[in-house]
Amino acid sequence: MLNLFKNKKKDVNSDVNNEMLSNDELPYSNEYPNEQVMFEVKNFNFYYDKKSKLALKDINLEIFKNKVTAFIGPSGCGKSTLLRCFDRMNELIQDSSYDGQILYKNKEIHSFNTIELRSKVGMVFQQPNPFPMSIYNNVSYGPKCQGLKDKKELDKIVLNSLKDVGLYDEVSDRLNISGSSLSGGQQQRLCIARCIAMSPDVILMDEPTSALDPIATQKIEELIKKLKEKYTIIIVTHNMQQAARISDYTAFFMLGELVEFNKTEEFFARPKNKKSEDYITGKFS
Amino acid sequence: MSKNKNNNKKSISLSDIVSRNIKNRRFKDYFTNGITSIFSFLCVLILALVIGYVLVEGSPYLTTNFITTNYAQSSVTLKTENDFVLGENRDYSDLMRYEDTVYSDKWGIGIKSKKDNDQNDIYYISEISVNSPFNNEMIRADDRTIFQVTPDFYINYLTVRTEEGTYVTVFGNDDGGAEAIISTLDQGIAIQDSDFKTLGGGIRSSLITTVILILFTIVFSLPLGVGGAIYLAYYAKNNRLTRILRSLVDMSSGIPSIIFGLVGAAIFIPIMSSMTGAVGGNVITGSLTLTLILLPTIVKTVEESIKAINPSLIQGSLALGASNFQTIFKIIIPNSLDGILNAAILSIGRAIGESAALVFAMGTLITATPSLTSSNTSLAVHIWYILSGEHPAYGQACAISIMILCVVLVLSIISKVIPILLNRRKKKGAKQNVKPIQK
Repeated sequence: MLNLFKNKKKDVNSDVNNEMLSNDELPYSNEYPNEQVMFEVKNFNFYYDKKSKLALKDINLEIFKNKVTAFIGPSGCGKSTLLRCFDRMNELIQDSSYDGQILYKNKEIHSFNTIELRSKVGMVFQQPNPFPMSIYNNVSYGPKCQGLKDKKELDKIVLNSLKDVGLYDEVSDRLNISGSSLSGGQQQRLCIARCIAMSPDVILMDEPTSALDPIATQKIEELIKKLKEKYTIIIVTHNMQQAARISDYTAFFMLGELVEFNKTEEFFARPKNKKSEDYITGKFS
Repeated sequence: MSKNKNNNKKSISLSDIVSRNIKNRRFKDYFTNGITSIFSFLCVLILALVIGYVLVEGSPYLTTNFITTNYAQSSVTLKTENDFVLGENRDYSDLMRYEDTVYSDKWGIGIKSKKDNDQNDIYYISEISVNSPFNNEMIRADDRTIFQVTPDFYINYLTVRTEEGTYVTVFGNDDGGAEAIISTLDQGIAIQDSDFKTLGGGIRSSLITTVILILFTIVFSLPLGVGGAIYLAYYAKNNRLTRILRSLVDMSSGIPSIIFGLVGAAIFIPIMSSMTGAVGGNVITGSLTLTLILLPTIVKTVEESIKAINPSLIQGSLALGASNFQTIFKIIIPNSLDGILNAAILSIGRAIGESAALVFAMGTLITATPSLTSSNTSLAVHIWYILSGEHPAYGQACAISIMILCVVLVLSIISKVIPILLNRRKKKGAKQNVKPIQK
């Protein structure tokens, strides 16, 4: 059950309240010196049900700018939970809590207003969820909510977003029709366009292709490869091949713990951890 | 041996049992089917009888007069200012001389008959010549001001003074009809005393009050109900307090409405009187009481339809940086519109039909002009009022019932049609004029 009440509990480590950095000033990673750090997760724990269920255990992780990071792992390993922590969607779940830190551009995410954070960190869900309104209104929903009223500006945003996801040629003559009357793959691309319309820094994708057929999946994967030039993408996937195909970095989770984080080629070719190797070779799933 | 026999007796095969019981079971089937059909037929029959009785009894009374006149009559007592001088030459050539009208050449008026709201014949002055004494020579008996008789007034009685100085009186409901009235009039040289009345027994003010009551009830109850439903569905934490609240909401839909009426009268009427100086119940206290009665139902109905919204829509909206407020108004309310409209229809139906609570909270005084600060009646209370007197007016009550039944019928049709229309709109997409974007 969703709960729209704001969590009144403040961050336990709120004393660390650094300034937010611009895209160019982002610090370089220690481990991968070529990469700029967009998100930094530090000693992060996440609990459900009033701390009775530990879903994420001491996660330390860096997400790099303009790279695709894939979260893989067996069901219930906490990869979706971590993804939803990045835009604080988990706070809608009653009786959930966390400790530790997630830094977005060097600033603790819990010191942001959720509206501000979520307009910078977009999210695409597992099931395509276009709003039951016209395609145009779907894409312009986010900018309109932020208070943009200029019709020309909105037109431009809608046009560019639809072009970016390759949907414009398919629907340019019928922007009036309901978003839910499109096919599944088109709906998911519409959801990505809706997300891009906010011009976010990061796009979180929660198994975006699991409800789609192979052709639609392929289109989305190509789209993701194209989008990483502009955006930082984190994708949760069940499909190891997909992770291998599209991601630059891969994080492997098991039972709420981050088992291994590595460059994707390294991870699939020479896994450092025994568990990762077993998972890749299909010994468990 | 005996044991063996017993065993043989007991071991009956299943097919034997089936064939033995088949008649019995078939009879039971017929019996239960018969009973069910009889009872359902009875239900339909009773409903048909009720509606049939109301239609047959009420339809003669359901006239435009009935709807457009007020319940209360107003009367005026008139006399002629001067004696009417015989032989005085008055020119009545401007009378239209219709066939169904009886004219008096002496007085220059035409009298016509029509039916009042009790289906009795009444007579009224349909035409007055410019030169007639009725035009500008009749004065009120009390303040001696000139009064013009209009067709809205019908004749209750007329007393004329003859040349010999005797008085002759004719009543509007005498058997003689228009001719008797005219012949009496023609004997006289002056009208000593007369009584004219407007039609009464109508439901005009009750009808208007009902409409106002419905509007106020919706204005009060719908926002509160929708707000409560959204709170219960998305804001209330799932704890003991919420569960108690929820069961209280469920419970309060079972409280008899007369108790709400009592509470409404005890709470809202004093508050209203202290704020506006109104004495007793009025439309606003009535609609506030109806709001109390309706809130649980509205909250339940709207909450059900809110819960049916796909939560991923709400998450999607929030994930796009929309605030809770924007999400409520752009996603939750538009997508639960069918539930909200259903709740509105429920409240309209209840506001029309409710009488017990309104007797206390709104009052039973049928007034001529609907007002927000004085006692008025809705149609249902009007029925209660006209049936509770010494001479219950069943026919008029049935006529009002026909109107209420029609509204309820229309409402139930609308509530069936709305989901279909909404679905069609959803499929078509939101009807917003979005021009194709230029490349």
